[in-house]
Amino acid sequence: MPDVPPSKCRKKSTPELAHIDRIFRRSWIQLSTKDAFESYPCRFGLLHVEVFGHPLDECLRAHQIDVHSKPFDSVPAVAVVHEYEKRLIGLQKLPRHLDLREHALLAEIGLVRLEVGGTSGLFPQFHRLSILPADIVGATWIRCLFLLNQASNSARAARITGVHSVHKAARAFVTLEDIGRIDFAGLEYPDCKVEMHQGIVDTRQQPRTSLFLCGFLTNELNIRILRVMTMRSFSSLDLQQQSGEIQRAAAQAPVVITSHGKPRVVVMSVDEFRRLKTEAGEEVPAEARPRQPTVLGPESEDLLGYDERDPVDAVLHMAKDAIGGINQDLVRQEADRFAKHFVQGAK
Amino acid sequence: MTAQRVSEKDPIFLIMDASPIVMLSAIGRLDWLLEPCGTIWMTDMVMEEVTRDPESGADPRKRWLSYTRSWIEANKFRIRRVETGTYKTYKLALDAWRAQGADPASKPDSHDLGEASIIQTLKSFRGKVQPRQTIIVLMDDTDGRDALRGMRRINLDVFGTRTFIEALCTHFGIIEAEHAWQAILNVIALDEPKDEDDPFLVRRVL
Repeated sequence: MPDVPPSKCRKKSTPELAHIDRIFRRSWIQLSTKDAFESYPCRFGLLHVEVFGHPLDECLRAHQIDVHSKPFDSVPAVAVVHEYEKRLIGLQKLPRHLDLREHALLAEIGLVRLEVGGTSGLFPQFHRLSILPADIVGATWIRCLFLLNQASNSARAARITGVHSVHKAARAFVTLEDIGRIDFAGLEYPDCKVEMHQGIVDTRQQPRTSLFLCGFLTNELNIRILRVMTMRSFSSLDLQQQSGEIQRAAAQAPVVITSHGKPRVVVMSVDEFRRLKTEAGEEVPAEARPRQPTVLGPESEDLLGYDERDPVDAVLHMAKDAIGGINQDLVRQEADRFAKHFVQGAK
Repeated sequence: MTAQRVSEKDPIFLIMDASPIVMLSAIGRLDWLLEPCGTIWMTDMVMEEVTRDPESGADPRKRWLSYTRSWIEANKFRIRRVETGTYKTYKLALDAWRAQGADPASKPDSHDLGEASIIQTLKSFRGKVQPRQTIIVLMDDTDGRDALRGMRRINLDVFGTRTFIEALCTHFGIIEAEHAWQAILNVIALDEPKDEDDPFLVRRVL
């Protein structure tokens, strides 16, 4: 897919642009109705996404799509949860410049929105990284369209069809089986090894507006879905009145508590707190450490038990031990305990 | 030391395995089992174990078998016999074995069934005993003790015969119990085969 000068963005002269335009227009309509676009990080200035060499906002404006950006300050951070590796990555760590020119990934989830993005810098293991804002709650289908680049060639398209499992939202998971087949540049691409890690989409548990990151390796077509969650903000009054809701939100992503409109406190899950402490090289306080599981090691030897496979031999053994005073202290202790069950005043 | 007995204390179930019964039978002191609380519990399988004829003719237990049987009969109102599925199954197998000619090679194996019946009894006690009640089990078999100690959701304490005899001596005023083990050893050792030490027996075998 060649670079397209800015002027041509408006002309919609190429099939690719027409396709993007179609997606953008349709998506924006959907987004505006479902208000799903609110969580799209580029709207908060966290990302600078380019489409065919032009900033996404510019491209959107070129297509007469209005983007209502919120100031960055109101959303200080958007957490990105790597669902598979359970890593939390702040979106602010994303490169400011995401090249979408030939490496564009176009996808669409549900009827909402799929945004394009690509980077090889954030996740070295990924040849591509795509950002997919999605609100799939109630969506009846899911479809992905990937444009990917092979190492030696220009961008080529791979279409992954059959990903229409969201209406199977009763099952609520998109799994590898849901990917029917892979077309690469219109051809079957049977050698692709596709991995879509489980648990990526659970429409019952995700917040209504979610973001998904999708990256893949062109050589393996290794698809990974990453969940992106927004950081919610509550007022100090909410802290008193909606403590349950705040705790639930904090379990998903850190929550900002504002006082007089200014962020004052961040509430986060213990796991996230531990992760931040660990990453900072600081000691995790004892109160926040996970409770150590009870390790049932080998029981201490039962000194007063005998192998009774040969009962006569066991009796002999026991009698000799008793006469020899072997483990007699233990016997006395147990005798005291025994007597306590029956006798008042037993020592 | 003789401590004061407490009648108002929560009742205790004292459940016997076969080994303490066998040992106290050997010295004719089964009455000691009744010292702590006057009543003991015994599963039908354990009762079967301690009253049946030994499989081996050389088993010293046959010497005091009649005493064991008569003591159980004499104290049948102090012994709570617990019926278990373990014994029923074993009895069915035993009856079938007898009906098929009682081939010694195919006799039903009764090893560990006493312990199994006790475990089954304890499981049946779950939820039926009072919260403050403790179930006391006398058992010497290592595996059986391990199994009992692994049981959850039941107030259980496991002791061995050595502990029981020591408690009799130190807490229940049975001074005679101090020499119980020497007596048991004498009785058992009396019945031990002495093949290597008896030249006459060696010659007879040859």
